[in-house]
Amino acid sequence: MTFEVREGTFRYGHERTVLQNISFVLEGPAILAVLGANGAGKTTLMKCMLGLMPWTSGASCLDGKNIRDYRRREFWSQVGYVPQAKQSAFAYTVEEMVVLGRSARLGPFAQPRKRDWELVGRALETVGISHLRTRLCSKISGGEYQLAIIARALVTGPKLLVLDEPESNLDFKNQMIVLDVLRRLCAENGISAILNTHYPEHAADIAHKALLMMPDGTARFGGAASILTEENLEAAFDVPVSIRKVELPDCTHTCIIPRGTL
Amino acid sequence: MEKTVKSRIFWTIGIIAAILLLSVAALAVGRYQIPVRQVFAVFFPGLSGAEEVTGNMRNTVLNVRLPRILLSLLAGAGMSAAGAAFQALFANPLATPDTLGVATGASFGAVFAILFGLSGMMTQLFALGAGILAVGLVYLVSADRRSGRSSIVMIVLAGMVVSALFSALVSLVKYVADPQDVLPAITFWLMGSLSGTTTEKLLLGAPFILVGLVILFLYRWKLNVMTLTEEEAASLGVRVKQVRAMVILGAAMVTASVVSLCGVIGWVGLLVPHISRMIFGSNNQRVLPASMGLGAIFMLVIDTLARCITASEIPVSILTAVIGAPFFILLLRKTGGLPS
Repeated sequence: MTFEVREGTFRYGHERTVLQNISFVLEGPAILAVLGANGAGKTTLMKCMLGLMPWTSGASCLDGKNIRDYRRREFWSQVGYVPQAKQSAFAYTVEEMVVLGRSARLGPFAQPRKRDWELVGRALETVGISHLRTRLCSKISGGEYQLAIIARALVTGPKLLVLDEPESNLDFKNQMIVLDVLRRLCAENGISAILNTHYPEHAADIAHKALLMMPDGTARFGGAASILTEENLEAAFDVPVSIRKVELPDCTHTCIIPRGTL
Repeated sequence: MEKTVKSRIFWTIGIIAAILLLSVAALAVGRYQIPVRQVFAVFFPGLSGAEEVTGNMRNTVLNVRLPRILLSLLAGAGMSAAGAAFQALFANPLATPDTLGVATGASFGAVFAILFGLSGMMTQLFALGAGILAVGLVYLVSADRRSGRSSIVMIVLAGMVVSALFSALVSLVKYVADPQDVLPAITFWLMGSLSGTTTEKLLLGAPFILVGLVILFLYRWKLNVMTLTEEEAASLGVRVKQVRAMVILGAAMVTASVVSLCGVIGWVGLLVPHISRMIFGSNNQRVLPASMGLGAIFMLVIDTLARCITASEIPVSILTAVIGAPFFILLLRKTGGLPS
């Protein structure tokens, strides 16, 4: 799997340039973290690179082919999108919500069949929430719901997951669970991931590559370690940053600390 | 899974059996009572040999009650399915078949025809035409020239505007109508009634209702996706605009045709889908067929009561609310509004 953005630029009308000449290549299986200040255009970047919003200029390519040249269902069978988890107006059960992910594989009038329900079971197992299968989405915790939405993206059998802030609004433990699931999917199942995050430490923790959105709409891209430096983060977030390595019993953790000077 | 398959078969057979039984009962009762054995004899003359069937009985069963019962089944199934579909499409539990102004538009067409003393057939055609015109207007108002930005909010707002416009036009017609004979006719029609249903009227309107129902039924699972945000639905590989247009078309055909046949029937489109959800959960794969079945039963019972409990007909909209509301409240209190 190769996902590439070539000189992507996005403007609202003629006034404001949100994204300027953004380029990156992700060779799978790998995890790419997208970081940037509020309003830097992280969510816009996700939508543009998936074709949910049109690039003003530039292109996104999956396996060397412009995503506009893919048939809709063909593209969305290979790429799973995980939006910020919002509850639906209607109370679906977890399995009913997850099976919706099969839409890309089924025709317009098709109904999910036995095989689709089996795949739902497998996806729930992968993210570790099989026991919630028949519970209502409105009656489970935010972390469990986020995992259900990830399962919905997995059930189509994608090569790439794109996640919009999957670990915001979650507590410490649930953040770790979500990140762990992504790491495992990449290492064991070969599924790549692109995720927006507000936590540079999470990026340092699980990402192989990083894309840092700058205030002027450009971005810096490279290996996570080479991008997540004090100078780069200071330029992106406009706040002094210190990076320290902490030796823990079983690993070395990178602490990225914003220093309040405001 | 085992359990759901069994309960699905149980409910499907149960609802179909209830529809058949209640239909036979409805054929028998009325101001002119006909014993059930005679009703069977009308349909199967060879089988029951001995039964005496008068021409009057045959006429009442085949030409008066049968079309009316078929229409009540179709109207109930249609309005309920259209309501369920709109609630899913607009991700709004309060949506009704009239959310886009289809029923108000059709009402205007009908009262306009009544004002000019046109025949029943013409009234029906005017209602159907005006209902379709209303959706067309909604589409024109909400369609955005720049691609990809027309939102569900625009469609619902356009629906409100079109509905308000036709509602004002209906008032205008009532204002200028002759208060001696035309105004009462208009008022009675607006409250909904299935009296005067003939085979001809039914044959003209039923195909639209049936085609609309088939469209909605085919999209029943996709309706679940439509309750998500537009981008989420698109990211699941669904052609959001196409599905939305087809569902609106199907629901509009049903609504305009039902209103053209028997006037505005309130409440059913809101009440029955919610009852279905309380019994079967939110999955539209089950909510839609259940709404059709329960809606048909509900409407059949209401209309049979409308023509039986007093000497003169009671408008069905009054009964749907008077009988529907307490029943709905009861269910709501019992389930807390959530699927069991």
